[in-house]
Amino acid sequence: MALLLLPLSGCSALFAFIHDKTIGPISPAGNVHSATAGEDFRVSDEGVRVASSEWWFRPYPRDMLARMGRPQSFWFAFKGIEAFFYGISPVVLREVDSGREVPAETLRQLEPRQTTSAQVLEKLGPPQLWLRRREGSVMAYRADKRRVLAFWIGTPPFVDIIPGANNLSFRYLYERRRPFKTILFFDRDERLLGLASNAARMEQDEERAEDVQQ
Amino acid sequence: MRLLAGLMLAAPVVGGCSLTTVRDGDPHYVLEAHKQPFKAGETTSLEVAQALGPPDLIETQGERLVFEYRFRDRRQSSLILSYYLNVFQRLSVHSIDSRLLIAFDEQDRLLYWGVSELPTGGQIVRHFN
Repeated sequence: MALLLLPLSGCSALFAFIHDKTIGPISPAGNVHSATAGEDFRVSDEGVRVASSEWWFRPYPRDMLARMGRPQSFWFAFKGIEAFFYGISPVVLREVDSGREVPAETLRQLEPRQTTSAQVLEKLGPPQLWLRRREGSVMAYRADKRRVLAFWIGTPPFVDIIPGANNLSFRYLYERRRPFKTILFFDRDERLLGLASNAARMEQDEERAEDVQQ
Repeated sequence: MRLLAGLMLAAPVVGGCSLTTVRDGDPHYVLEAHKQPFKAGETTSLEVAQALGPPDLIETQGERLVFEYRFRDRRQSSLILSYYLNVFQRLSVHSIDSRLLIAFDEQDRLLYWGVSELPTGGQIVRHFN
């Protein structure tokens, strides 16, 4: 009952603001403060000045149905549902890849003193960084792989299986972010001097595999 | 088996326990930085990259070239024993947050380098194990 009365209490703007700042990015409702409190006012040293006579403490957003129909709302709803299922899932596997890994086989085809920067661009594509210096230039490629394994087992909240021992649980989280980095050095004539990559070592056992070097 | 049996016996008073490992970056330079005989005015950026692997960040300061390596590893375990109230809590955190900066001059020769909070070899091995 108290929750039902909250929007009518005249504090809807405050609750909308708290909502936006806490769960706004993943909430199915999206950001609701401007719709709830309105945008027709200015805040200055002299206080709050309402630009129009429209009532701006509302129990619900003035364009609620239109907002619910926007494609953005469905995206917010999807993110909220995803976060919910992540929250209740006992086992979570996440794989997030960014960037394109440079294949070790392609790197082995590059020959110092022979391969030019133009040929490297042709084979590997544009780098994330290309620094030109007096003594030559440096190209850098990078891709990141993030893996998360989370495991949780326990009693649900407020469920007393064993009286007195509340919330029995075991939680395990392993998160690994692996950077796949490649750097290539060129001389003044744009000929390859040498390169280094950690891709093979990152792909295999981190302590044993050797870097690709030329 | 002993651990499992212990956990089963302790279950009535175990409120919860957690194990967390978050590792970010390539630890190769952490293990290798102390072994490399880098010499100011001699070692080139290519030699450093081949010894320690590619850097995480490359910057220029005028004609100077700066390599930055970074590795973070955090391991945390917690145990809470409770019976109506929390009677025992233990939190253990082992963390590595290290950076290595190496600067090269306009001739591509090593100017200086600095490393932050690198544990010694034995500590690293214990941490990784």
